Amino acid sequence: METALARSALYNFLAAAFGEPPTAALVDSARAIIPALADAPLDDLQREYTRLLVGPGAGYIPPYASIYLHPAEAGKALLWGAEAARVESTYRAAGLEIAPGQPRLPDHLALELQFMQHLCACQADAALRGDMQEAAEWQARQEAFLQGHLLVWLSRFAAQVEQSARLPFYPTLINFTLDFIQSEIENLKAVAAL
Amino acid sequence: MTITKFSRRDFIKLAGLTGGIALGSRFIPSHAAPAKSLASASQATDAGEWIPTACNMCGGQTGILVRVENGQVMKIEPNPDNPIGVANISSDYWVWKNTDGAAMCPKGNAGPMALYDPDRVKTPLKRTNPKKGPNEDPGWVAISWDEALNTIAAKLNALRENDEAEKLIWFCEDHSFKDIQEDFCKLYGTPNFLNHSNLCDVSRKAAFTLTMGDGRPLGDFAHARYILLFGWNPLSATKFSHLPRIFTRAIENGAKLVVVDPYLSQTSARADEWIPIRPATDGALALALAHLLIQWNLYDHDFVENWTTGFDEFAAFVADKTPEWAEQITSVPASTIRRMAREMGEKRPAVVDAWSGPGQQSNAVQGGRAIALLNALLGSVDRPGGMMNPERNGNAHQKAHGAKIEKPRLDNLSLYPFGHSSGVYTEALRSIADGSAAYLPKVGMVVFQNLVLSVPGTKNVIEALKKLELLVVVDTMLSETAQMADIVIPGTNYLERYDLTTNWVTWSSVSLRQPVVEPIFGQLPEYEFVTELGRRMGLKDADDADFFNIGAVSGQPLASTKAWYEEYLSEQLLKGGPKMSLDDLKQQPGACWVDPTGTRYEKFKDEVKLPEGARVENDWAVVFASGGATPLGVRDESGAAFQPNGSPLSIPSDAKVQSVPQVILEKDGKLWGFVDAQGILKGADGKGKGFLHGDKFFKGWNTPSRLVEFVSAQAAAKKDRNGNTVDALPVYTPRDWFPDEKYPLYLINWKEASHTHSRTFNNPWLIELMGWNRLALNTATAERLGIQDGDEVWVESPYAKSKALARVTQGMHPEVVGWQHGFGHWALGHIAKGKGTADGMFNRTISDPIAGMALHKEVCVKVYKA
Repeated sequence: METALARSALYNFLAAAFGEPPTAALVDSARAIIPALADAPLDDLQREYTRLLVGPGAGYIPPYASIYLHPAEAGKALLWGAEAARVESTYRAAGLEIAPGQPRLPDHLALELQFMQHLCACQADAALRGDMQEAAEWQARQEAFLQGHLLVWLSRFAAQVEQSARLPFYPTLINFTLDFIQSEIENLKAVAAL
Repeated sequence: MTITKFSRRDFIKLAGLTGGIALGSRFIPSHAAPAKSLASASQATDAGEWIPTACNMCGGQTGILVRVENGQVMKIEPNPDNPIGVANISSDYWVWKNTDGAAMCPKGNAGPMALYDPDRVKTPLKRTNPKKGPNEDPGWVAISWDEALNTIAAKLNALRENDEAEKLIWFCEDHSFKDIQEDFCKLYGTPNFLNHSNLCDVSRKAAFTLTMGDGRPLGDFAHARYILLFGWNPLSATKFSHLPRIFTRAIENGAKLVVVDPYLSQTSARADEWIPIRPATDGALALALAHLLIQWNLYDHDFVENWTTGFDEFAAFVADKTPEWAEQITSVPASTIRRMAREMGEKRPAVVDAWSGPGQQSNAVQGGRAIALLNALLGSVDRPGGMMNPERNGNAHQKAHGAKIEKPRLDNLSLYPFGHSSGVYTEALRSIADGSAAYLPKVGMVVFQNLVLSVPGTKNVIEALKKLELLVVVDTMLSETAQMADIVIPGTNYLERYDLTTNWVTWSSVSLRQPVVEPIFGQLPEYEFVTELGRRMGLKDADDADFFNIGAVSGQPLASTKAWYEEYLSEQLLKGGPKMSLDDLKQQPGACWVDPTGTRYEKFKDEVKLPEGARVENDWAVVFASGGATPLGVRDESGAAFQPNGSPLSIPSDAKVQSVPQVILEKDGKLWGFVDAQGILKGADGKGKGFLHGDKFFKGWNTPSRLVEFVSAQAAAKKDRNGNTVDALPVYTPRDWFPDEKYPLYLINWKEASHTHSRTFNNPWLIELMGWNRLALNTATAERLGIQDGDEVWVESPYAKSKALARVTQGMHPEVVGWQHGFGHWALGHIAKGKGTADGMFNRTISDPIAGMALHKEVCVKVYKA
């Protein structure tokens, strides 16, 4: 339970890191988690965030899953491809929908990380209630989502961010996320096998 | 790359370091309970639905049906319950909607590609690099809506408090959420509200208004037997989607289609005859045709005698406008002109129309009048197979009541004698750029307009935009204009927003554009952005009412800007033709209200009836304020005067008292109208209502004489922007800029159904359809210049030089080169960027001196191998 709560907090942090312009507090936390993270002025990081993850324009790497999973000609992929619809039905199956007034695209990286945060929190909650069967269900959802979806596109996305970045901040953060998710999958499998 | 492995213990440690950073939840609990297990987790989709709305890939606004499944737009089909896309005459509409269904164009089909374009602007952006220009990286930083709105509101309020409201200049699109922007400007107090029309067709508007009292007449081509078009490509124009079918039907019914154009357009290619012409000489050709129709007695005597004015003077004027005279000017052989005149005179009904080809030239208004008047000679005005005066009893914008604005407009609109309410982009921008403006604006608001690529004279536009202290651009894309902005606000795609759409058919209808999906980035639609700005600024109307908070129908404060705007639209519907609320319009088949009365021909013969119990006085006079045309009241034979409402009037000393043949009073004594010395029936407001013909009043046309005017007295009373007297007759005047030794070729441009203006070039389907604007030049010209098809060439004018790819073709007048407009982006999106050549840089930033129409097509260049 303790682990699930911790993982939930980490996903929450990552969702904020990829979903909003960096703040001083976020950069501090990022440095605490990844001591190797290179230093850069906050306004440079804000420009970098906008250029890489918000766009549009030169250097923009859209942080939407279906761009990387949609079988379209290179450079012509659209938002809200078939994968986005699948992601949204996964949310619904887990009892969630996107709040009114929020960006409606289901497959933004930050939203997917927030979804993982929710699944972890539900797992922790079930465990707290002593419903280990339900906790296992929530955990199975996590594994399916990570392995069947998030990890698949995130590595492709990470490679493009690495190429486009002017500062090491976001490539480092994304590589950390990738490592984290790889470890997650291994850990989750290990737990499930027990 | 080494992969760091984290254990579960690491997670706990790392979580402790996140410092509680969290993103506010973007989820809410779903209405449906979560699936119990993964196995039962349904991947099922909802059944999906077809939602009726109106396209806005261009201003044509075709009715469409949008397939939405699970909040995602899947595809778009035409909507047969909306006449736009079916037919422009009601009798055709009611048959064809069942036999043929509706049509839409490639752009309409490509709509989802625009909605889901990854290059859309997703959140407000703030510039951090103060240097502006095509090669400057703006250094965008994403900001919150609050920061964006508050920054703009504070700047605008500061201007206003400093009594500088006129220093806000606002540019907007003419068919999308325009009304609310106009209201905002009015309440804010700036006279500088401009919109797109003066980049498009205001010379046509002026020409047809002067002749037949309507700025947007529509041809009843389907029922014509002879169709003559000047510089228009309806089979593949940007708009309208029902035109190809209408023309096809006309041809099937035996009509002859003749197209006058320097370029072999798709329509020219399918016409019976293509008449290549020297640019901007169309008016001369029209005068020679008029000359022959009159000389050969092939004109409609009955129509000309009963329903027009100035014919004798016009006939005398064209007496020397022989085909040989026209041949010299136009390069069209006199024998061809004779054949055209014979055919159009004998094959009735015949209809003549013109759009932007001759329209974007310095002599466009008078040339347009000459063309329009051919319809008068042929008896083809508001009659089957002729140019129709459409009825427009659509939604009615109830304009906000703002304080009177005393400051002058920057664009000197009042100096253009038949200028359009959309203003004059070129004069505004040029005078800001060169510093000759009466004052320099400080804040620019540009909504859904790409001025840098769409206004002639690119350098001037960029210089003008650089001079603004705050430039806000609202757009779905980071256009070349958005690249100049200080703040960019993400716009909505048409599938995410409301609008009421009307026009483009000959009888009244109103269709609804409605959000078929919520704005996909959670952004405010343009109208809610304006509403929210008005709220934050605390804008009030002249009656101190809280305009942007109080619902127009309920009269109650409305917290939601969306709900407020829905009432704003409801009011326009309730007070307009449909007389129904927005919700009721949504329930109409195809979300479209269609006036069941349908198309009416010969509306000019409508009798104007006096009100029941009306009293007609023959010895009374009308009292006007000095210089005014609206009556202050009337004076009876005893010298007593009354206001229009019947109460006593003391006549001001400087008033003008005019005896008139008839003063007409309602039975309760209120003024209903009067007949002036020319036999024109005018209302109590002084506006024309009809004219006396025999012993009846007929409606006629909305011209000063209520007739179709061969001679325009109102034109002759005015001076143009250059101070020259406007001719009462449609005199052919050569355009200002002709080819010379240095720049020996005319350069023209055009639009096609594949793209709209400069805004669709990041759409992958459309760029597949038309991906490059090669420069078309005639085979003989190319040979003389040593240019082969596909060669890279330089195109050079006194103002710019740029590379292009040559397309050698027989389908171009030998003295002319030309290309499709809208290409040559250096921004907008990764697909658009770097494709083709931009055409605006070669021009001057000027307009025609009568209507203020931007001169996109009055350019000369030299072309040589690169």
